[in-house]
Amino acid sequence: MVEKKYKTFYDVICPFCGTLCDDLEIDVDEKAQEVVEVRNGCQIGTRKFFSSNPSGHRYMTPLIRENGSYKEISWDEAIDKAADILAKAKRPLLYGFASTECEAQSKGVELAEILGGILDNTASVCHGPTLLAEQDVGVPTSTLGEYKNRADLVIFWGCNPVHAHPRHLGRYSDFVRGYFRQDGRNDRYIIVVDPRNTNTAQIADLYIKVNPNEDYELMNAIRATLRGVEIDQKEVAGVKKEDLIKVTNIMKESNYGVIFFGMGLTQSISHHRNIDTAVCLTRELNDHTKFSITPMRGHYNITGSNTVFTWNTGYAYSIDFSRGYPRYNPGEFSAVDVLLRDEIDASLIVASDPASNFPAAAVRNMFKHPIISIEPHHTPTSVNADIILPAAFAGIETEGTAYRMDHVPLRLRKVKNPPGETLPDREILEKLIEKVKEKKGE
Amino acid sequence: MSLNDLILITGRTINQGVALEGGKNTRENVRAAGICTFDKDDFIKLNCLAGTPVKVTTDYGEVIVYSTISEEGPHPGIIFIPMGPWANQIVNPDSQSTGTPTFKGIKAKVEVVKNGKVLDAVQLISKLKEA
Amino acid sequence: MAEIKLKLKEQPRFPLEAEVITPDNFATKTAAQIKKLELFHGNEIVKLGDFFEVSGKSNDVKDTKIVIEGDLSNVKRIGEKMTGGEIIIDGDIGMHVGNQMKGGKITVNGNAGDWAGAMLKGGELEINGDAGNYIGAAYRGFWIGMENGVIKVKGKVGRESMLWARSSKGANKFPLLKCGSAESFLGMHNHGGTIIVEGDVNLYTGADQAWGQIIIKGKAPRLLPSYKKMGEISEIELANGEKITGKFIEYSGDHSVKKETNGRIYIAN
Repeated sequence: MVEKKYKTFYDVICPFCGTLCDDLEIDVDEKAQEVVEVRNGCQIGTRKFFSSNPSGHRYMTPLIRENGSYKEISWDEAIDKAADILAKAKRPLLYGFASTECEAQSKGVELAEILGGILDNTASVCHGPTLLAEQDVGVPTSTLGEYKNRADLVIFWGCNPVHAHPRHLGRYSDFVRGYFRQDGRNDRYIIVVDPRNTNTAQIADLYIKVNPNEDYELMNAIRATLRGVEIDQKEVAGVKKEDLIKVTNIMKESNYGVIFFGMGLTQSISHHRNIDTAVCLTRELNDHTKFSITPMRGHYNITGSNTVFTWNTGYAYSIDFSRGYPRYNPGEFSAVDVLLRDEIDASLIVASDPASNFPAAAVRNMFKHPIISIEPHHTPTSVNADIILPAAFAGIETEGTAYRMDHVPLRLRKVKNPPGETLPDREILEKLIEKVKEKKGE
Repeated sequence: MSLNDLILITGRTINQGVALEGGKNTRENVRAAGICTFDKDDFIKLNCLAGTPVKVTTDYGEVIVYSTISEEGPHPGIIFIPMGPWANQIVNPDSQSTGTPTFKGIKAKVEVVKNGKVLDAVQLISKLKEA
Repeated sequence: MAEIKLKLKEQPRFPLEAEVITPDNFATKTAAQIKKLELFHGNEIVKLGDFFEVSGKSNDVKDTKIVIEGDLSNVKRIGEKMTGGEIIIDGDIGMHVGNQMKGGKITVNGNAGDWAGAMLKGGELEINGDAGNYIGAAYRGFWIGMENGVIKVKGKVGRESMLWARSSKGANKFPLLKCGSAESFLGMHNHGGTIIVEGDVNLYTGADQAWGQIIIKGKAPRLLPSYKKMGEISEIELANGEKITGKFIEYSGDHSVKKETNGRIYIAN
């Protein structure tokens, strides 16, 4: 009888992007506790599973920086020293909480509250503007399953799923057969709006080249046209009036349309007002047909982070606890802004990499103060931290819940054990909470 | 050779995504994110070979990256740098009180620097640690 | 008017939250009592006297004047919810100055931070320098912003000023912003507010305006495509009945909100 060397896990959730694919198959060498093969994942998800195997990039023990190099220390010592830094801080920043599971995110809220610090997640630099707009004008939205089965018009506005959400098109929005879309790709009309003719635009039915930073005006003109008002201009945002009218009519005449949007709208100059007008456009299209809008969330559980923060505090991100209760105000309490103003005196970075992803001026100020990094592998943030607490990968080495971009919660699997002395984020945060409480005399 | 009056867009690419899962302090990451992609007609004006280092300057800083030719053109007047530490040297940190910096749509200019040194992520970010 | 003088002794390391500094809170208190009032500095509570020298005497709310000297750019929420009296700030002031004010007057002889005069309900806020973003605006999640009162800014106001402003002819409430110049999205989601700009504006003025009046005496780069040119006009009647004369071009909008609208932008001709 052939001895089976590997264990196969089916229906594994991929912990990379907001598409949260739920059909991965992972082969694990149980003896060596290593991932051996990944099936059905995209390039990036596959790479993530393999990167969890022991390597020079993976942290196995807690580390503390002394005289410019890192020294191994015990968990007890590391937690004690980290809690000391955080408890003494008068305005600590707790940031990240995107690439981890919901229970860890909840612990983050608890820790921020005890410390009287600022709590923020990566939405702050990503889809925060989407949340700001939703708070002003709402969001007519639905789930990916509904889009797969019904949408005959799919618009990608300011996003490039071929690069950022590689299997989105194949599972939900483009090439897949749906209940009312039995002919798959041929049953759908795809429009891409982007300043560049991206790889996604190259496989669309209609590509609209919009001038950078002028999406707001284009949507505004489409909304006016939809109201039956003829605009005075011959061209808006680089798009000719007749093309603008053509797109408006395609939208009106669809059976079920959906707009997927990304950083092209949130990170250009009009930020949340791009989303505000896109949501209003979607709502107004429902006077003519059925239309929905969904943001292409980046990290696999950033939606969970917003959800968990909201049910705990009432707010989704950029939360200040310094007055003893949660207050919310992006621009005032958001991570990049408080760093630019050099307002903080210590930071705890969890499940994220601000040194890579924040503008240089903010990173410069972050480096001026102690940094505690809860991180599975080397990142530009962790290699500049004062204390490194080695984490297990959620979705590979520990279970948990994650929320997909359309708010559907899925259960992350554990396919192998945490290596070395690594611990799940939630256990690390719980240890910090206990120690900080002790130091603050509670 | 140089080009002025360009607009810089930063964002994801699949190579940058793969590289960052493999380790952000690697050579692979430099090749994935330490690059500036040009429209092919704009690139001809630079009069250099693909891969030559270029210095990209905005109101917020400057950075040296490898030049490449875009597969997502035409987009004359627009340059693209993948998200990451190189892009973050030159994006607009101001969020206009929204919390989100303006990572896309920044005015930029480019100059060829044949002997320019493209730093890796660790070196680049270490420069921000200067006392 | 009885006068209390405050002088900033040292720059706060973290933002100092000083919503306790209002004529309402200082009324009938002595300088010694005022020094003991609480301010918030990071996650710690401090005494007002730790950061400010205090002298003078107070009276009842209407007759109390507070004069504050120093670089207060990292001090927030001064004048919050005040109902009367006066505050004069000789220096720059941080975020949220005069937010939710109901009455009285605040004068800033310097620049003001973001959210100055946010959700104003009455009274007057005068800034003799530039002001940040969200001046006279609604806070996050609120769809009614400034409802009454006057904000005057000599210099420039930042983005989304007068966001969600709402007037009421029946209640005789006409929120008004006067400024030297303005950044983008001036009068966003305007519901009846009046804005008079002495100089130039930036893009997207009057975005999603339901009704209201925005008068621009300088220049605007292109207006939104959802605004339509109506014609020339030489006298504008404001919501509160006042009239402005001069040569203007009248535009109706925002037509992305409504097909027929009372919203107007006037640009000097």
